[in-house]
Amino acid sequence: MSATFVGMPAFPAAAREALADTQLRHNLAHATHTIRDKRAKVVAEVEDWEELRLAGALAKDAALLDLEHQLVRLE
Amino acid sequence: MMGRMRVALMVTCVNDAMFPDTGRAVVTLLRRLGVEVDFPEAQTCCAQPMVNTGYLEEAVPVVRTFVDAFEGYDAVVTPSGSCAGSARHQHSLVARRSGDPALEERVASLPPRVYELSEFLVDRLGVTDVGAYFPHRVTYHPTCHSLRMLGVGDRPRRLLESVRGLTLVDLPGAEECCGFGGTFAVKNADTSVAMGADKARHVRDTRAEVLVAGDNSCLMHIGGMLSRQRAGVRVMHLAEILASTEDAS
Repeated sequence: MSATFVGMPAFPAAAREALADTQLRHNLAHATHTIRDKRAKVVAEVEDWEELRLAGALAKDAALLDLEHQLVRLE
Repeated sequence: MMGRMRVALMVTCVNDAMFPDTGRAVVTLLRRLGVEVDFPEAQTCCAQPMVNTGYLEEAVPVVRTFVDAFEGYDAVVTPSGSCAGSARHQHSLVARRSGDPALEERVASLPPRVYELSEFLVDRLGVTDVGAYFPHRVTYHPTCHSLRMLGVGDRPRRLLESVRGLTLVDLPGAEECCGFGGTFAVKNADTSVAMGADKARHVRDTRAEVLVAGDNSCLMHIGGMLSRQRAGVRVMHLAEILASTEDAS
């Protein structure tokens, strides 16, 4: 069963209309690039960013694999 | 030493059907570096289109065929970050779904030996200067799967920087997706084309003659746009640039 709300067009159809709005595309590009540039600036301040990111991902995966135990600890 | 390593070329469906020169370039390059390369003819698809679309059970025989074709080799080299990513990150999911412990065991052993071309050259062979010559202005697009799934990092750049005569220029917004995304391009054609148009504009801004990447699927998408724009930029796979020499460039 589709989770689409009644009256809302499917994504490909809605996207076609939105993509034709050049102002919207310009504004979104500006907003997302501002966010990305700020992120890149902060990332550049840390020397071993990639290693830190990978260590964080491993910690997250380990916690998810052990979720049952972790949830009991939290309670 | 390298001559004794048993290496297989996994050419991939897209290359087999559309870009056979890329497969030839991998063989030319590896032979020049002293590596004997086999081409197991039993190989078919890596199963990624099925897995990405949710057909895990249908992917089981495809993964089985993959393992049958390649498990006897020390290394499997493929000119595609996407297909290498599929073998390394998706085959274990498919094997688990199969309910066949023997397949799971075989799959656990093979994928770590599957290398995207730049990984094989830099990590396994320990080379960045492959003796190539390519006197052109080039910009490099890091494809999503090579960047985000495999983490090839700066390996392709280091290989390109060692090519004699080549001028490598930075691509603005390089790490943004080109919009191809396999079946995404078919299901969401308008969004895919809009993303490709942004990428093509960035490529043109570099004034490069050649756009290079490690995946021909992405290059097919961006190259299709550039050719329709009569942009004067051609696309080439990394393997083809690395295979070029002064005698035949």
